[in-house]
Amino acid sequence: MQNSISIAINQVSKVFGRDKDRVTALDHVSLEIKENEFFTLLGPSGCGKTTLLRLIAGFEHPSSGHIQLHGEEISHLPPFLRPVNTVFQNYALFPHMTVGENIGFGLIMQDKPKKEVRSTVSEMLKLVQMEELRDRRTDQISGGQQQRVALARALAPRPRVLLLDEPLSALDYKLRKGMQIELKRLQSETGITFIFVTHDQEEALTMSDRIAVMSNGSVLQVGPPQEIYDHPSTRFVADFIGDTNFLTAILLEVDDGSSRLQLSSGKYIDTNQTSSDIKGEINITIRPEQARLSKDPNDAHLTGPGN
Amino acid sequence: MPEPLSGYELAARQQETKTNLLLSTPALIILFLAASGPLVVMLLYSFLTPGDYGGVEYEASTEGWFKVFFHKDIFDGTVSFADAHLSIFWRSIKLSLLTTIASIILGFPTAYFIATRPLSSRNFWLFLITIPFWTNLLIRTFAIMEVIRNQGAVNTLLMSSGLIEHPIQMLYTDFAIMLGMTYVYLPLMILPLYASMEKLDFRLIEAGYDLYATRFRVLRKVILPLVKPGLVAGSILVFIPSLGAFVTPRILGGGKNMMLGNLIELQFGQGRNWPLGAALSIALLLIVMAALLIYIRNIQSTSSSHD
Amino acid sequence: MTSRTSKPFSVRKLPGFSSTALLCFALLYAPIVILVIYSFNAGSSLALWEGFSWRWYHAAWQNDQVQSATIVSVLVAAQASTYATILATMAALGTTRTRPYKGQTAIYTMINQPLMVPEIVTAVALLICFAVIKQAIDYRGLIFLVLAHTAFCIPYCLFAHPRKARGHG
Repeated sequence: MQNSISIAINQVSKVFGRDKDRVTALDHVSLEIKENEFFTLLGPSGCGKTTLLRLIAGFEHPSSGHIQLHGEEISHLPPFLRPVNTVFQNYALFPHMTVGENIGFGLIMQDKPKKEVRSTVSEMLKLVQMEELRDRRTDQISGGQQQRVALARALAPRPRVLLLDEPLSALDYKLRKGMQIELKRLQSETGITFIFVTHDQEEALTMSDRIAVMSNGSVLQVGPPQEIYDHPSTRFVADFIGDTNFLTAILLEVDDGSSRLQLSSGKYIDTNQTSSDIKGEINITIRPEQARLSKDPNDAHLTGPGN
Repeated sequence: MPEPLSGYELAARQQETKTNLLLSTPALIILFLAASGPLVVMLLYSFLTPGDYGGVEYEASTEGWFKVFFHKDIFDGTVSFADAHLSIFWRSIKLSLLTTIASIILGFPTAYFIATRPLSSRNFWLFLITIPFWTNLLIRTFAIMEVIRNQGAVNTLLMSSGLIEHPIQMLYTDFAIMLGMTYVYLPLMILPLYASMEKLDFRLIEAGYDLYATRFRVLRKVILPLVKPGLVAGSILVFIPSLGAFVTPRILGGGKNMMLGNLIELQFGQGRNWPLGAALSIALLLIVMAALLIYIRNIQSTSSSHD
Repeated sequence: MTSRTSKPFSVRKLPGFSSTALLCFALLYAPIVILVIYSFNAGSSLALWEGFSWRWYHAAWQNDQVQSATIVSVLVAAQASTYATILATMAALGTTRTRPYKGQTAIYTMINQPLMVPEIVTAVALLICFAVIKQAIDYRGLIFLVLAHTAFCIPYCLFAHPRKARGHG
């Protein structure tokens, strides 16, 4: 792959319903997800992240725009023709099949020889450390174990891209922490592109290579976790990611590499941040861990992160 | 669960059981008088001697049962299988099975169609299914008769369109009986199938498509196993009344194409052999019970594997 | 909406299912509709339309047999459904929303029996019994019809009940 772009989403919109009941779930979204990347779609519920995932999986089709997989248009292919697999939020394990049969389902549907199916299922069971539960029914295993089976089932056909729809939301805190590490391990071992959907910003920050923050059907900011945390592009992103304090101020002047602000309290303050050059009212966000107390009232200043 | 109960609790439970039994008693008495009791009387009758003008002589005899299966020549007394009876048994079972299959072919897509309608319109479609069900059986059978008669709607339509020159003989054939029974009992297939499909988790279907199953394979490997209880229940509900049908075969099959119901009816009318009629009824009941046994087995195996 | 060259894939649809279903609805209603339409036919044929008329409704209304049969039907139906509803409601209270108890399955089987036994079998069995009783007591009223229909209606009433009962549980 010369460009190493796995999934390219170009100006994709999705509108549900008609006339009065029209709901725009996605509004001209564009994204590029690189090969072998752990990419997270992060946002509050109803922001369109799951819709985007379903469009990539093929359960829904875009109202307009294009989705490409390794440069090939896939937006109108049925899901069974896409080398993309999904780990569903509630796992969606087949209740009439055993753990082993669930994991082998995709392989059998691809008409793989029986021997290969058997060995791949064994391999997958080993990968998720569930070898001894192969013949169990899926309702006889715990939630965490079901989660692993769902993962193994989606990984078994070796998809180009793995989609994960809030897969950890049903697990308790401790299991979730364990699975986060496990997911990271599986991703680096298999080398498959992971697209992970979550509303949990902590989960997104710890696991992702890059994050796309979404709200109201639009992507607000895309970048590595650190960048999104330190340089939120909008007030929404700053508020949604981590804890923060907001101050309103008036930007008075911008000088080469520094600016002078007047806080609403009337105090003047200097900062080395120059993220805006439009004079007037602005928002300042200060992460609590960045705040320092000082006895000298004239010592107040703002220093941006990373500088 | 088997916790030892305190004396007080035990007494309370016994009281509760007593109340429950008492509440059910009136219904049970009516059912005993008009349903179960008569069956026992009929069993006794099958071992009596036929009276000359119908009814019975109170004298024990196995003649009735003998005549179900064997035929004794009135001149030379040679015994042979009662071909006429056995062929009617066979025709009844064959036509009932064909009716069940036809009901599945028509009813399965219909139930699926209703189950995939928006929630608000599902009751409307279900209502459409139940109206014919509550319409009198005779009216519905005569309606079918009118449609398939030589001068009926179908033949008139086919002839006026020039597809055929002479009317196709449909009335008074086995096909007519099967068509009529399918028409009459189809709602009994659709309703339980719908009940199963309504509970169908569409995420499982999505998972099937996601794992490379084509439409046909999703139907066979995911949908069918999941709605099997409804399919079996529907089949039983169609098969049992078909096997005992007597109105539909008499009107649509004419005098020659008899089914078990007509044979039984005959013994209480022109045949004047009540014990034979009673024995035939018990034989029919045994076939039905065999079918029910298969059903119960099926339910038990699916419920023990699903819960 | 954008124009489409081919129908997009839908996870809820299966090929041919919707058209089969619509055909099924049409087939269910066509014979009944034809029968209803031709009941207004001026002629006596069911194939030849000779104009609209109330003739047959008029004839039915004036027919003594139709009248007496209708009265019997209504009487039997009204009584049987009333008794069946009362008895089934009591039985429903006794069999649903309670701790499982010994004999509950037996009661269920007994109540559902009319649904499991083919009609002709029940009919013949009733004929035998009622013939004997009629001979013994020389009674010719509707009570046998009412009794038999009440028994048949009980399982149908019970089918409708548990849902409502469960809804409040």
